[in-house]
Amino acid sequence: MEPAADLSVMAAVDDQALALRAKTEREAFGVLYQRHVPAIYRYVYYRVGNAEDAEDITAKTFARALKHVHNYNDRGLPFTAWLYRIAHNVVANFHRDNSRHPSVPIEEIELHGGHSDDADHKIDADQDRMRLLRAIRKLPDERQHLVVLKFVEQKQNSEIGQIMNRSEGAIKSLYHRTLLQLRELLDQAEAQALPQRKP
Amino acid sequence: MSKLTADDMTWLEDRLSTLSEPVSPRPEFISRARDELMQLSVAPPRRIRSSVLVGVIFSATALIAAILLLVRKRNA
Repeated sequence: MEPAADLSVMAAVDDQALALRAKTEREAFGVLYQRHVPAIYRYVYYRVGNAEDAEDITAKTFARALKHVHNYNDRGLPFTAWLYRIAHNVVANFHRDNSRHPSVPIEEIELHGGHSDDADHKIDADQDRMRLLRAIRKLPDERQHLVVLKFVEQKQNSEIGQIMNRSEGAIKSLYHRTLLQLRELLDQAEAQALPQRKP
Repeated sequence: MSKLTADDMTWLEDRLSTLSEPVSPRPEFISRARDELMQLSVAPPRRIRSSVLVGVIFSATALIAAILLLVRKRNA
């Protein structure tokens, strides 16, 4: 097949078929990259907290995926789940190499709140969101992984189970424990913030 | 550890749903990283690895068998 014709044809091909072709055709991997780079970047961004590291880790994720695509087998594991697993490992390596968690203060996360006419309301909403992100960063690694997949990537429990290599029931249980811990962390954060508010 | 009520869950999930606001990579990054990927040299999968593994397992088994045999002879 001619390369020019290939690209338009490949755009309609599903992930699994493309991943199999990517074992021998670099262009097929390029199509997969174009298709999934926004989601992987978003996932990584919420795990590391800044655009520079997110770009670096996203690039490393795809480089590692390309290097190991010959090992990818379509045995019930969607290509996206395989990619998220790689991204999760690269993020974990990043945190380990930086030997602190998180490597970048959460204050540096850029907030993308909706535009509001009421400036005070927006500041309150941003502070609320900042507190939430800070609490999420204090969760153990796998719980952060779960929260980002569920609320940033909007994945279903079954998909999260595939990515995290756990049953749907185990994900539900982990989710419940995560919410419980998150509520405690938020309660602590609010308790610490209250004395500062007093005049 | 205290329990999580249905109200707690709704409150937390409402707050967490604010995380779904879009974050996108820069277009320059997307194209630069794609170019780098397309030029990345990837070594072909090493088929030798499985044969090396078989060799190691075989050698280890032979070694263990030899040791067992020696121990048996010594005890006999």
